[in-house]
Amino acid sequence: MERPQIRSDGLQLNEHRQFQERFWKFERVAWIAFAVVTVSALLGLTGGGGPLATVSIESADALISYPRVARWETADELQIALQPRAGATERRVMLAPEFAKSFQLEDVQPRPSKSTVSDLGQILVFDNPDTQGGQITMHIRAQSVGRRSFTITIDGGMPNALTTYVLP
Amino acid sequence: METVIRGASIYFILLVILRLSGRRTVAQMTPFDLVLLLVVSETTQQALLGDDFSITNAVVLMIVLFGIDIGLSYFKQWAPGAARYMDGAPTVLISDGKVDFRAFHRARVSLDDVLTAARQNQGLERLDQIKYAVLEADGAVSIIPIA
Repeated sequence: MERPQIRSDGLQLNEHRQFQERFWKFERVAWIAFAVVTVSALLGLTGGGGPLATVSIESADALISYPRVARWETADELQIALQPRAGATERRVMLAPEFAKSFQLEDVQPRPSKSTVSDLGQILVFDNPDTQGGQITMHIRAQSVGRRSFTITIDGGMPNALTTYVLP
Repeated sequence: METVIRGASIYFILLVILRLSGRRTVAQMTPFDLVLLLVVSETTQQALLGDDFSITNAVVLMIVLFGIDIGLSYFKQWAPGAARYMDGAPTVLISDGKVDFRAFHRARVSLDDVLTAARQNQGLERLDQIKYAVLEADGAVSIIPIA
């Protein structure tokens, strides 16, 4: 066990002043990092809402809004605004298998009239009698951490590639 | 497994944040610090338990936290250098009657803090009655009066 030295002023203690000077500098750098994390959180880069928390992609079939950054085991929303499609009395939304591996689908509003599964993924079928498009909201919950990519295909068109970063 | 990872992660994250925020927030508790402590404890409770409120989870978590604490105490004995990073070191604020203003500024301690400690612990009235003032690693201010 280290016995503290007696200093020139008579105190017996190890002040480790050089270490403290280094640590005080490090502390101030850490406070800047605290500020950066706070600003990032306000912007939505740590999930949980904010101007950059969601991202939207638009295709001929739909406008899809989904979380850019999600949090593990936390509820989030994925919204699909379907574009009007003449003559289509039902709309099909296909979620790729990667989606089911990374997210739990807790609820869908409105409820699909039919749900089927294939090796290409889960297909949700929605009645759309007036062919005027509509809004679908999926309540999802991330089940694994890291970069998660999946596709959503509307009415058998081009797959929309989505990437969400899930924080622990 | 998740309980152990949650417990260990929160323990070390809280340790790092508390240490980097400076020692004032630990020992010299103002009403603001009390609010901070209450909010932090409530926040960490959610992160520690998740949605598992079973007695098993609580018991495992307590054992993990005490285990880490015991392990770290041995580690600090074995590696005093690492102990300085974890616990900090004392800072001499007044040495032989001379005030080290740089130490006061860097450690975010005011002369009022030292005078308060001098009044409370030694019954001293003035700064010139203080021979040594040391900001201890636990955040308390020790006062040694001029004999």
